[in-house]
Amino acid sequence: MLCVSLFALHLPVYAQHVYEASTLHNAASRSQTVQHIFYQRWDTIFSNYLHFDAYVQLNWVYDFYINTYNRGSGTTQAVPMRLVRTFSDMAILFSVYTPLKETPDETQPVDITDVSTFRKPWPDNSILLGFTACGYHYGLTRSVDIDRGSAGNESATDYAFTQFFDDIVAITAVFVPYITLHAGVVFNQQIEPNEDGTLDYNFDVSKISKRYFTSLSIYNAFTWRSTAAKDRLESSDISVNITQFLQLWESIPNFLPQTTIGYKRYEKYNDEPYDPVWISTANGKSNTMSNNLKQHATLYTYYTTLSKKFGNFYLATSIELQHVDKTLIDKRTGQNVSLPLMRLWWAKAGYDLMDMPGWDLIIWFGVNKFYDPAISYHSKHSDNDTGGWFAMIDGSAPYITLSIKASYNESNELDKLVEAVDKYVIEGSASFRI
Amino acid sequence: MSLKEAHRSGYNIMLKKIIPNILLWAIVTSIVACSYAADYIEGEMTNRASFSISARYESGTGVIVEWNYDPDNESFAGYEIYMTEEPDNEFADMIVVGAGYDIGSLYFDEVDNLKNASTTSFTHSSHPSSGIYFYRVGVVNWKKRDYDGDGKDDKSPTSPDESLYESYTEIDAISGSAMVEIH
Repeated sequence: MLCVSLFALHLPVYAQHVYEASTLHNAASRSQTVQHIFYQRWDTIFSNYLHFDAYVQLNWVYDFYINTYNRGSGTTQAVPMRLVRTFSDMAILFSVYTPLKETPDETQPVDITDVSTFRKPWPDNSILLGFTACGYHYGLTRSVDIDRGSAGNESATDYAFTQFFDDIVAITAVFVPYITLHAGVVFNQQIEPNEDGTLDYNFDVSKISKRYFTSLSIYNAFTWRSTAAKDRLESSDISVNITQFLQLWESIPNFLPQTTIGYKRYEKYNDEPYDPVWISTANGKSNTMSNNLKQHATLYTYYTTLSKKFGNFYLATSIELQHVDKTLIDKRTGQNVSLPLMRLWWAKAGYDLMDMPGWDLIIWFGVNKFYDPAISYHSKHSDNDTGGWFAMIDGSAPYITLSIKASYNESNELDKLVEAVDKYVIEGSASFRI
Repeated sequence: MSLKEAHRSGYNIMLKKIIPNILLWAIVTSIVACSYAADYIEGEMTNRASFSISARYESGTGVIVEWNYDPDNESFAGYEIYMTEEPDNEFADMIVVGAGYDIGSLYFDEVDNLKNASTTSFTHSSHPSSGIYFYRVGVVNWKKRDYDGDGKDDKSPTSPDESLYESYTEIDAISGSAMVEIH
């Protein structure tokens, strides 16, 4: 099987810009990503009062140069590859119980089969049940150009290196408007492709790791989310939607933005080969050390997000502060890594070209700043922070949505996969909803 | 109807809907959801290598390429055989070296059998004299269009020829690569 070094930084010729997309091996990080999209979909479902949502997202990151063994020449060389990330999701939500409205004209139960009742808020005290199956695939592919002679040119792709498949199966229960509960399992699987570039999809239970996640939201104002691996709590996130919280007592003036504050703890650094830092000390540590010797450092972040709509204009911004509970040692220099207080900030603006209920065509543009100690590992940056941007066209109709997005060093993308630094990312997505 | 009875009726209606909804979700998601589904779509968009082949060199005969694939017979236009254009380079671009029509030039063999969906092997006679090369098999389909001028799209022309093949075919599936050392 083809092999590459985990950190090709040790290769002198291509130092700092040829490497394996090694953070993909971090199942904990991948679990965060797939959950992030899971929650995004449920936010969409709740905010649009959907009963069914099917969603597909295709994401390509270009210009990965990977040290790869060439079976023809018998040498290892830097080969351009593309990171492919694909996500699909299917969720249903239906009413288990809908209370009667005790008005003289409405003595019958609400008929959920009546299409005209779709897209209306669920009555208070309704009980809803939802199910979700979604999954994310990550992997490198190599493109080959094919000259068909006088029949033209085409291209094909091969799988290259380990392919990662992360799936979620989850159940959702809602007691409107008091409680929203999600609980599910994340299945992390990785499959080695065949030498010829094909892949045998096989469900090998012995190679699947599991994580469990739960989310509890009260009055859509207080939200607690957590992810647990087999023996420890891997991450937890507590947030308060200030606007929603204040609205429990009184109406909020129109000029105030939607405001959310939150706190998150995440065991981000774990002495793994793909981590850029050692925990506490570098003495006696190596990329081949046994699991029971590995230490864990928790990253604590504190964030706030503001968003506001002014007519057809949308504005939103967020900042995230950080600190870590243990000393981090740079694997290359052996020096302490000092994390800056601000981990990221972003701001974005959108304009809706359509002013019709149920129809949107929003052009978005955003800028950001992001810090991660692995940035200099995976780029020519001498420091570990970088600025970025994204542009997006986001269209939605009553039953379908379409979106196209381009980004470069966007904080959201780097947070998912820091190896995407200094690379263009193209993303397309579509959904069908009822 | 009392409020209590109405509630019970409401419960019955809802309960009748729970099981069908769960079953529907389970059936549909087991077919199309999960991590494989979107990857499959991306693979279709980018001509991802989807089946394996074997190839070997026999002195005096040539390079024998073998595969096992079940194409869509209605759209099937032919198999094409590709080879890396450089020796000793797995990552070189590929050129067509075998097809049912005369579409190639360098190291090219026109073999009528490659127009048949049931064909499972190809012998490359006009191969380079030496070197390590990589082969692939492409399954080529006709593009859907109005070939007979009746105003309706057809899956394939009734009288296929080289000109139509050159203009209106595309790779529907492609194999992984197989290495051969020619000496």
